Amino acid sequence: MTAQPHGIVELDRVAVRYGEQAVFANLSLRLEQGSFTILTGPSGAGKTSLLQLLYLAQPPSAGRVFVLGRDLAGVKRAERHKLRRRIGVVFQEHGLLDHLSAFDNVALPLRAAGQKPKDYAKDVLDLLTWVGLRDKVAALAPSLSGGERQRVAIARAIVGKPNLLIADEPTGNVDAEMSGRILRLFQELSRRGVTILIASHDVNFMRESGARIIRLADGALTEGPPARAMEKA
Amino acid sequence: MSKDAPKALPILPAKDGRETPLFAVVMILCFCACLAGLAALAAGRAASLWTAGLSTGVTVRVIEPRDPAKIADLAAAFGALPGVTEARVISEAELSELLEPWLGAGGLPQDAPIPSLIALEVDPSASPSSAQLIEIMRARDVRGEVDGHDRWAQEVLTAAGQVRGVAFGALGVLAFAAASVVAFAARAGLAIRRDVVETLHLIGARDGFIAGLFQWRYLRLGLSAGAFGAVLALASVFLIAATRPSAADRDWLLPSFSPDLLDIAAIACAPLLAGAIAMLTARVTVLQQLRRKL
Ligand SMILES: Nc1ncnc2c1ncn2[C@@H]1O[C@H](COP(=O)(O)OP(=O)(O)O)[C@@H](O)[C@H]1O
Ligand SMILES: [Mg+2]
Repeated sequence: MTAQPHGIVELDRVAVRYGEQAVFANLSLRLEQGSFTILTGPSGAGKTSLLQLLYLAQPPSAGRVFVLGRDLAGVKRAERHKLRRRIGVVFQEHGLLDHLSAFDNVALPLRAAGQKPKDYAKDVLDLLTWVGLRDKVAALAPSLSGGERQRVAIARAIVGKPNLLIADEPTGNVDAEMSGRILRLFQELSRRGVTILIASHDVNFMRESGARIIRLADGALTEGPPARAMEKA
Repeated sequence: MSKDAPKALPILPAKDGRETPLFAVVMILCFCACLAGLAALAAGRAASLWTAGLSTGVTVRVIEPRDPAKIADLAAAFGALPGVTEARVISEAELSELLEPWLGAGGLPQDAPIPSLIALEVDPSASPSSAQLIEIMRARDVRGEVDGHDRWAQEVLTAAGQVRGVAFGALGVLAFAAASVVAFAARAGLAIRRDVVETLHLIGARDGFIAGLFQWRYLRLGLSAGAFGAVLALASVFLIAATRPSAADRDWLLPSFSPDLLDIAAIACAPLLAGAIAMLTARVTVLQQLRRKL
């Protein structure tokens, strides 16, 4: 893909407000094609809110948002699903459907796009194998451990071969070893050219990732992690 | 399909225990609506029975003059009235025959002051009134009486119409209440599935795809719950019909509660309606929910 005038993601002086509460304002950010970025910052700083702008879960209160070269304000409602299909999301709360198996949860985006089981079965199985859940394909989501659920959520986020992968605290509820495994999955995807943006305050994860780190605190974005946080780890 | 892939489960669970109350509500409402519908049909039938045949005949008794030509003339004048399909002078032979049970064979005494009779066949809905008929006789200097059962025929017609009106009105009200409650219950049922709507929306499903999942599911739910209710109603009515002592001589008064094809056809509509309402509600509700999202 050629360089896009607005990068793969660009926030142009955006603001998010909930009623009276301004989470951030006048915030700008640009992510290049194929980059691997971690967004960190204290809880409640607005990381999830920022990511939601990018995966079209909410509109900005002010400013412009470009995703995959498109100004989101100019994307008609009836067209947005096409853009969403090119963005993989690992939601903060997993967003797995409890009545579905690991297999069906991963296959969900493909089914929603109208694919039939015979078309997607192999891809889904390969992906579950890749995330190390080959023997859990038929397990229902609630029977999986936190780490397993995270990996199902990651598999679901990438099954549609997205150009942009967004993950909100993907190592939030897993131990250090699982956190390392999940990081290696993201690094592998990054090598394959997927643009990745992860919200995390997992210090080990950040340090080992080799990713660009940006920090959101007090409504402002700064480059690089605070040295103090990295030392503490 | 790869041999190791598990069978794909429906995106919406085939059975959701949380939908049991919705199923029960639709079933009960359908049951009530079917009973009301059957009652309305039966009341309508009873009302038809009351009025059938009673008001199609009007008898005019001519006392004076006895001149057959004048009477024939009068009959022709009646026959020309709108709403009168036939006006016939009853012959003496016929009269004797009619009176035989009272007067015995041998017929009428020659000098008995037997009035001449004109039998009118009228269309009960457009029949001329007794007053009109008397007015015509007066204009021709004829003295006579109209066997005026048209007054009470009119009353019976009115009463029958009221019975029908009330029965179908009640059915209408119940159907409307049932429809509202089904819609309300469907909304409540959908509220517990917001997670599915939300997730599918964010992973790139079209609104129509999401609405479709719910719409077909609720159509099925409405149809099956409605069918249960309808069958239950029909069974109850058959039970009533079977246990009621045979009452052929009272059928003209009591609503006949032995369901016929029309009843069964009407009852079959109830589940279809319940299914359609549930389906439409589901579609509209989901699309509304989605429209509030980006
Ligand atoms: N939908 C919402 N409505 C109202 N307030 C919200 C909503 N989502 C988040 N907030 C508030 O906005 C702030 C930022 O939240 P969030 O984006 O979740 O931060 P983070 O992900 O960094 O913890 C918090 O104060 C939170 O309470
Ligand atoms: Mg968050």
